[in-house]
Amino acid sequence: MSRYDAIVVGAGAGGGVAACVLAESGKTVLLLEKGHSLDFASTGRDHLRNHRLSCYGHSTGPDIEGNPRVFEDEGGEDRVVKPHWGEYNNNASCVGGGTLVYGGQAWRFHPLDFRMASTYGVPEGSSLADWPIGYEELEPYYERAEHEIGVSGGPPAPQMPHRREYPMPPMPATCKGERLRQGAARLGWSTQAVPLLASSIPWQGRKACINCQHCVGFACPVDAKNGTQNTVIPRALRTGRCRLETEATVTTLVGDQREITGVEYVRNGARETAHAEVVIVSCGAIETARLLLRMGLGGDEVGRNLQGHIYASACSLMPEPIWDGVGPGATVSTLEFSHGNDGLIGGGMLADDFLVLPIVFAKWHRPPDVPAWGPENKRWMREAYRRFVTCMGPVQDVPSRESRVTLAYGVTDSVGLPVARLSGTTHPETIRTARFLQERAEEWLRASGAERVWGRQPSLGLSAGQHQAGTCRMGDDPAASVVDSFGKVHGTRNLFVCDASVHVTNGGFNPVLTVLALSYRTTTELLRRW
Amino acid sequence: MPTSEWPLDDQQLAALRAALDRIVPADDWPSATELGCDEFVRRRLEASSEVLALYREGLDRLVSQGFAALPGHAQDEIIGEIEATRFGRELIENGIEGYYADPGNGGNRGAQSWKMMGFEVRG
Ligand SMILES: Cc1cc2nc3c(=O)[nH]c(=O)nc-3n(C[C@H](O)[C@H](O)[C@H](O)COP(=O)(O)OP(=O)(O)OC[C@H]3O[C@@H](n4cnc5c(N)ncnc54)[C@H](O)[C@@H]3O)c2cc1C
Repeated sequence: MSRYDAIVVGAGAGGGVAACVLAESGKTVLLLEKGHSLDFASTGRDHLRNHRLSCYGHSTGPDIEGNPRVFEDEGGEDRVVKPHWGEYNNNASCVGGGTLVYGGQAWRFHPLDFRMASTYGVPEGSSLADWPIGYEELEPYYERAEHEIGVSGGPPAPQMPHRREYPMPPMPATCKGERLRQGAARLGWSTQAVPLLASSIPWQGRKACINCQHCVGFACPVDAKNGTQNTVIPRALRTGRCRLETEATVTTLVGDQREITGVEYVRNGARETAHAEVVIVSCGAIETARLLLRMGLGGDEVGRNLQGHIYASACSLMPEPIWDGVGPGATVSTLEFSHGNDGLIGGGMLADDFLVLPIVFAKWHRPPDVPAWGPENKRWMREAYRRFVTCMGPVQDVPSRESRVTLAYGVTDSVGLPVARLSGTTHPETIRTARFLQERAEEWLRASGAERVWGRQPSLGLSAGQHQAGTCRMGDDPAASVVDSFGKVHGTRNLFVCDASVHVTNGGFNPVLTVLALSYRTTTELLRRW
Repeated sequence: MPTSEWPLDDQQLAALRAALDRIVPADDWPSATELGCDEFVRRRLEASSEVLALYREGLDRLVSQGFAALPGHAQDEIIGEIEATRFGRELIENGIEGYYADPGNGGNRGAQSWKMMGFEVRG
């Protein structure tokens, strides 16, 4: 039996930061990760099996067999779904979690994102709420995440006041970015370089981004994408006080309702036990909720308010080729519609996309009048690809208590434990806002000179996926939340959550910088009180 | 690829190849089978008995219509008719995937579809 100061369950965004902060402060840490330790060499560039397009699998976990979930479809029927299916609402499962393969858009949430209920009121049927903390309290930790994990960008958006510039300059401008910048200027909209957790210059002894044509969904060939797997986790290990075990699936939190004394986990078929003063759960919003539900910890709100982002997007064809192949490709954004949209709740950031792979172009971006096959389809693929531009953005989710994770009794994983069941949808207000943002995206493309613009109407559905959050929301009232404002599970003495689960709302931005910042904040406070 | 390595009989295989070459026909650039989309499908069939059963059944129907020997426009008509069926969707998707996904999947030989589109992999 082994004993540590802290056990961190899940080595993704939140867990990686937690392990590092604790180990560097002298604590002994056991970091347990269900997935494998992976890199570019072991995962490659399969265009049909990655975390952007996972038709037949993916290369960065979870394993396709032995990890099902249950998804309640629109008709109320439960269906067993596999990790690479959309309904699974997957994120990567490996050392680094989502940060190994993410696009790395590094957004702070807007100050109003923390005060949604007091800004907009609470629409009927929604669980919209304010965070117990504000932007100002998170600001120093955002800064730490930007500087310790590594963000390229700038100047920072004035809407989210920064005390320091980003540590690296923005990625190179692209033809499409320049075109969109001009379009925005014509509309009188301000724009913003997209901040990225990738290195525009050599960083921490690793190479700069080579602007390759594969980024989001894949591991980086030169390790220039900054995730927890190549920053804080190696730092934690270098202290000599952190032990990382991979392929280690935590099955049980040991102890009673108030005091957790350790965890049980399965590794290579063997059951292991470890004990600690403090246990931090950071399995991602769906798996963290599943673990707490299985343990009966955290109260009635666990698993509720599951949210992510519905995307508003529009597609266009420019009159001439505009593709310059300069990756990662997300370069220009506008924050004009993050808030203050007449009669709507919240809003969202709009930006251009990462470079679009040919097969993604074929599957996702075909206008309704182009046939799915045959000579016209082929002509379209040939003539449109280099003229294609899309804009999109994550729409602030208006959460619902009915969008939730529960346990699927009767369906078990490879260890024999009940899996997560996902049910419900986001609130209809989210869709109203999404439609508005789609129109703005179309307007932007038109103003940028597109000769043709089309889009897909966003529709009501469960919203979780790669941006999954909210299932253990933080709050001061134990009846209406799961953790306190420092990530400690209400009613327990030493159980913490350090991942996207604790988000009260999920902002009108990609969420990972907020996950990282909150983990810095939670663990810093934990050390202060230790 | 000798026929013996296929889990399909000669007639099924001929119908498959003919259909793929209507899904991505030759023009100034190669057709589906010229870039190995049939090999792409073979790997799909090898990977899943469910997909194999779907293909066998669907291809048998094409064989019974004499698909492989029909003129192109008649073949197109038949594909149009099955477009919304499970088999039709799978066949069309696989044809497109084979042609435009990475060569590592068996199709898109020499990354020729990427050259056609102007998708250049530089790093
Ligand atoms: C392709 C892709 C692109 C993305 N792009 C962006 C972007 O541009 N910007 C952005 O902000 N966000 C992006 N994201 C989302 C981002 O990665 C997530 O928001 C972030 O990783 C969430 O952090 P987390 O700590 O909540 O969970 P994760 O990072 O998912 O980590 C959870 C970890 O816990 C492990 N785990 C689960 N259960 C157990 C268990 N029982 N025992 C042990 N370990 C367990 C998992 O294997 C996983 O590694 C992207 C994600 C993907 C997949």
